[in-house]
Amino acid sequence: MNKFLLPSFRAKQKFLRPVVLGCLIVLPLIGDDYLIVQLTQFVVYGIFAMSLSLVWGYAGILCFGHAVFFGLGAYTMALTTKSMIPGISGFMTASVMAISLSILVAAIFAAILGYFLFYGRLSGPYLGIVTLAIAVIAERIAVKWYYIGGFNGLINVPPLSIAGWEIIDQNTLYYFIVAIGFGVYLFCDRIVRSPFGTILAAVRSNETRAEFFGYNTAHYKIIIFATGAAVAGLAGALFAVVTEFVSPTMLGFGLSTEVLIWVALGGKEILLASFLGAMLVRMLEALLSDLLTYYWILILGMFFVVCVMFFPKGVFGNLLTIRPKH
Amino acid sequence: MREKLEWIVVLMVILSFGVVLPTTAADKPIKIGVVLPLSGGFEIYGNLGVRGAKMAVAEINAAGGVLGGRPLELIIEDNKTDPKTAVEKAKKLILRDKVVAVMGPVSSAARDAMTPVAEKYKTPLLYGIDYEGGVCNPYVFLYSAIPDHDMDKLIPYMAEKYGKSFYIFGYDYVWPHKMTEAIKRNVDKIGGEIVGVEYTPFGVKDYAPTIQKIAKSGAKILMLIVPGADGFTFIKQFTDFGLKEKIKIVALASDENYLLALTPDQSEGIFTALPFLASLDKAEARDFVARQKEMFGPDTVVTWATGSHYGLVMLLKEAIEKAGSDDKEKIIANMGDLTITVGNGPETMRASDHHMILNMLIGKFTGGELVVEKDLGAITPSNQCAGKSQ
Repeated sequence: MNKFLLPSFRAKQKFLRPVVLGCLIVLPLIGDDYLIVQLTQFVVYGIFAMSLSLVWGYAGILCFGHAVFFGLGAYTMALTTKSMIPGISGFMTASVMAISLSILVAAIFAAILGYFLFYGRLSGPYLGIVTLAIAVIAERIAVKWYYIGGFNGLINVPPLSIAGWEIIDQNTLYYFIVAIGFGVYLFCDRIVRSPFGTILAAVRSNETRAEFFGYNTAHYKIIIFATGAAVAGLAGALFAVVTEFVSPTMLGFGLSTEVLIWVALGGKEILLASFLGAMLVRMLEALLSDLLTYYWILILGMFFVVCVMFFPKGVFGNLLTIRPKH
Repeated sequence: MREKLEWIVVLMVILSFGVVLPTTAADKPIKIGVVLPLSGGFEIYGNLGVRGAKMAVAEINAAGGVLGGRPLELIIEDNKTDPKTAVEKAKKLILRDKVVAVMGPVSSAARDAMTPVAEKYKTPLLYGIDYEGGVCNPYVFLYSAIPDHDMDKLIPYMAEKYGKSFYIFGYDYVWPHKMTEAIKRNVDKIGGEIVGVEYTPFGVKDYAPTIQKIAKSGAKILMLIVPGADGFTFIKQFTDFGLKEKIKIVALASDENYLLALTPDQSEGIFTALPFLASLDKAEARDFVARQKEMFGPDTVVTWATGSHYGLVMLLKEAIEKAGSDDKEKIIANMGDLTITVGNGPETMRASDHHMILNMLIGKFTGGELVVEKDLGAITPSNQCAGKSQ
């Protein structure tokens, strides 16, 4: 999709990418312990935001239940590493296996869901309403199901361990997550720049026309939906490890709308902008809730309204794309 | 214009990075972290807890602080009634602000989520809300009424006066479930009968089907484990059905907040069991209420949550003085077997299981007031660590 934009977009992005990566690498060196704890979470949220950007920004699928996949990943990770899934024990409970399983579960669930949604030809607000309902149902199930902790969720999720080496040190964990985040970025970037990405852009811009050209649009939508869900599942699995617990709010309506806001604020049509959107909102939230214990939600809401009015493509999206010359 | 706006936003982003970075402050004050719900559903308890803690800190500082002149400082965070946020805020307070203790939260779900954080960073967690009992952890201190305090006394009292058939209606999460177990245990003990148990999700607006079921069940007493806004909705509808005379309501965790949300007619005749009531006719109770009103205005509601969080700060202060240090491990070691008086006689934090010996009251809503129906005196709960290792 890059080739449709003027070179300055590339130049800006080329400039911004190493700056963001550099900041992420350097910041912990000058911050305190809590900054690292915060940043670790923010990067995970950033990965989650990128997964939604893939589905919403690049394929035009407005999903109001994206946290379902995040939560599925988180619960799978927690249940597997805590050896709570019958039949899965021994080496299968290792972190790497558990993460793979989380990705797989989220992707398969999304593929099945997508099959019904997209072959059922749901789109626009109807798709939004159905996915919203799924998020609410998922949260209710998690609250009701006592084996997986019910309303309380599951606590004491074991730390990441790779080949017997446990990552307990906060800094190591952070850089590990940043590395995964970078990998996810490259992976998603590759997808959207591939011929497949171009087809997605076509589906997004005009689905009927894409179909007329002979593309099975539902097929492509299912693939990108499942891919987005897989990335969200990965983010969820990492989140379970980072916060050491999971709860039903992680797969519900609340987080689903939050991630929509991050991505809309950052810029849904650019991966990096979505990532930064998540970082920005979370940082503002941390900052505002410290300064104004009681009024910060109001300020954040107003900030959102202002951004939607002045930067319809998102704060970072607007900065990165070139404005059309009138 | 647009260009400028964009740069302003970029500047804000950079600024937010800057403020997220730590600020170096003189470490003279001893900091106490507070993680309470100030939004999201349980704020009626959170806000009052904050007031209790604020008053305790103000009084201690006015009297010269602790450890020879060091003031206490509260750092308050909103957990939005959400366990995930509670964990984030607890970590922030411990790692960034270097607090000596974390106070809160309200829901058992959030408390269980925060407990591993307290363990990991070896920081005392001070909890001040009534709960289901059974926590046994060296880092958790509970200024709470547990079923041993309330249900064990309230059930026989109600059964004797109004009949032995009970209906239980509660929220669908761990606290109401555990309270149901405690209620059943006590009803069995007196040879009574549970004629129905029902759980409900948050945010239901129409309770008519449930109310009809309760009316048909033949229950004499309804145990209502739906605190807060949904509880108000339920009680209003229950009153409209005209069942108040036939079936007595025991509303768990109901306190003076209910007087604001319900009309005298709606609240009339509801029972509760608490360690403190603002209308209690004791010198220390009158004094405590007067001090709250002086600090926060004459319309301030004073409840048990105010008292328990006030008490937790006082216990912490005693422990710091006894330890002679603000070292967290030393504070924990000195926090047990301390006795203080807040609003209803002397109360003791036990070293053995970190639970309280409390003076309990049965309260009844009468004519738009919450009055003391019966003073149960000091109640020593069973050891919550029995059969467990702390």
